[in-house]
Amino acid sequence: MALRIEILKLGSVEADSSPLIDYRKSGASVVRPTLAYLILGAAEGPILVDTGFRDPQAMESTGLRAEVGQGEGLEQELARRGLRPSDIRYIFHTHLHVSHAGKDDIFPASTTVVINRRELEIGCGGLGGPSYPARDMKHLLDRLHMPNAAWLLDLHYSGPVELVPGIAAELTGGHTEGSMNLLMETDDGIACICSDVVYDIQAQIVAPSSQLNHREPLISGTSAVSRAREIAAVKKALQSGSWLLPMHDAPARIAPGGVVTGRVAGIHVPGPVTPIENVAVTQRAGGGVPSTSSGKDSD
Amino acid sequence: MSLEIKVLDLGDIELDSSFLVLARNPGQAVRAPVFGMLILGADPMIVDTGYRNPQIMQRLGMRGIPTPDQGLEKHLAKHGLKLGDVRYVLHTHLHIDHAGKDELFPANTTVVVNRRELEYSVSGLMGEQYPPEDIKHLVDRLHAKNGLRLLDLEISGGEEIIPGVVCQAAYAHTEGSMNVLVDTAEGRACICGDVIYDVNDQLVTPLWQVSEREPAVTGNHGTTKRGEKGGIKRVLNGNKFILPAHDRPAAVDHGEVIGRLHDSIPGPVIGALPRRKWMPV
Repeated sequence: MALRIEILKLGSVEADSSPLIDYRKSGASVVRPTLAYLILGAAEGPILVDTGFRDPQAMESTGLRAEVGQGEGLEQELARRGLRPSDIRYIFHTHLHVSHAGKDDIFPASTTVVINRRELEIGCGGLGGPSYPARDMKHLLDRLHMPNAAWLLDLHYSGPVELVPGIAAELTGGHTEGSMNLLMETDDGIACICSDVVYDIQAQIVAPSSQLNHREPLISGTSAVSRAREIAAVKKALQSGSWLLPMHDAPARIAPGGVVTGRVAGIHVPGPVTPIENVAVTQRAGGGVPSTSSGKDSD
Repeated sequence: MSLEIKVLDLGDIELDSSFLVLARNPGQAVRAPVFGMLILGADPMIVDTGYRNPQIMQRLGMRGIPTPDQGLEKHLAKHGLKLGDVRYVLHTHLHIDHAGKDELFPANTTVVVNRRELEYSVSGLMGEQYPPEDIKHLVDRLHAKNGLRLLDLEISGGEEIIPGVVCQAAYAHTEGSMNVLVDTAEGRACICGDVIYDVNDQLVTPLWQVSEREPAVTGNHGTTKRGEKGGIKRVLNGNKFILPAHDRPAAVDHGEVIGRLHDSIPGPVIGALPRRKWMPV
């Protein structure tokens, strides 16, 4: 089954640079997109990955400024494709942070929400503070007690599981204890939606400016797991397919061995790619002062 | 610090016998009390709040049967207290008959819960035993200043709430259950939630057991059988009194039940179970 993925732009979030990339300069703010992915071509029907933030006010409670631009937003992106919320068969959640599960309540109970059980636990356990808003979590608790409104996975114990033909879920191993990657078979290789293990492909992977060692990615500053696990999670995501799809950055083309070779130019995966050397300044800084400007590549 | 514990009689339930003790008379309905505990001697604190209303027990196929002299507010009043006088509400766990009345307490009453239990309550793993109404209230408290005090007992090894009151992970019944250990003038008391439902059939003459000192487990737990056995032994170890939530308290000596008490710890021992000496053949 050949699956196609479309990028939905739900809005953008302005955040301090340091939570995104560990050790990066605090005080400087960056603007990141908030994305969802629409998976088409499954026999079960259209599948949505994450639902973005509820509204800009919800983001403010975590100290982030959010914006929904002209033509952006989940409802608009779906309507543009002639889809209503009730047409969506499944919502797969990479995780449940404020910018990922804010609009589940516009979907009827017949749209099944798929979550790794550990992530729902973490979302109500207080470790993430305002990153897991009470309204979002309480909606999920209602689903938990309605027939087939939720589908809970046990990825820590089961290992990877196939959700529908051609789509598998597995633990990211990073970001939050319950985060999961989604792996999709396309006509042009596996596409890996990698949760928030990667916020910024350029700064974390292509040109991780403060790393000396070969192939050592930078990790995000928001990780709730150990540094060793978070680094491993970035590497695992890079090894998981021919396409890497973060939730706050434009997807990348990945060559065998986990090397980023290009960035997706449009809204389709598989789709046209801009080779990496044309995207940003060279990553081979070679001891000089690296000058990657954060976030520029992404929107 | 010498503290006292008073049993709060919150309202009976009728349920299947085998739910309380594994494989005990399946199909036969029995009636069990639901107890909360009041700890006196410092700012008043209570352990567990009972079910939200009698009807909610039907979600588990049980009946809630509060008698006229049962109920949280009634029993607090017996000790001259009202809801707003309670400094802390501690939860052995968050099942339907343990955390149903938290929302009656004002915001300056802090609810104390083991983080793993709050997590477990939304896992879906014990179904309707965690009603969404109760848990959604706790999620609201999670985002209110000092609404909750979360414990990490599996990692910390135990946490003192006030001098003389320590919470420890129960490692039984549910993944996040905790015991509340209270120092009294006559020794340490263990408020043990639902690790023990029935003192007689699980400990004194444990049902179906062959080996020495082998407790019978409950018919309702989310952990392993061995975890339940170990959790029961943990409750018996080093404590002078044990206080389950659905049976009257017991006095314990060196891990054996030696008597029963009614509603007050320390208090009169009403049914003595003298230890039988071993005799050579």
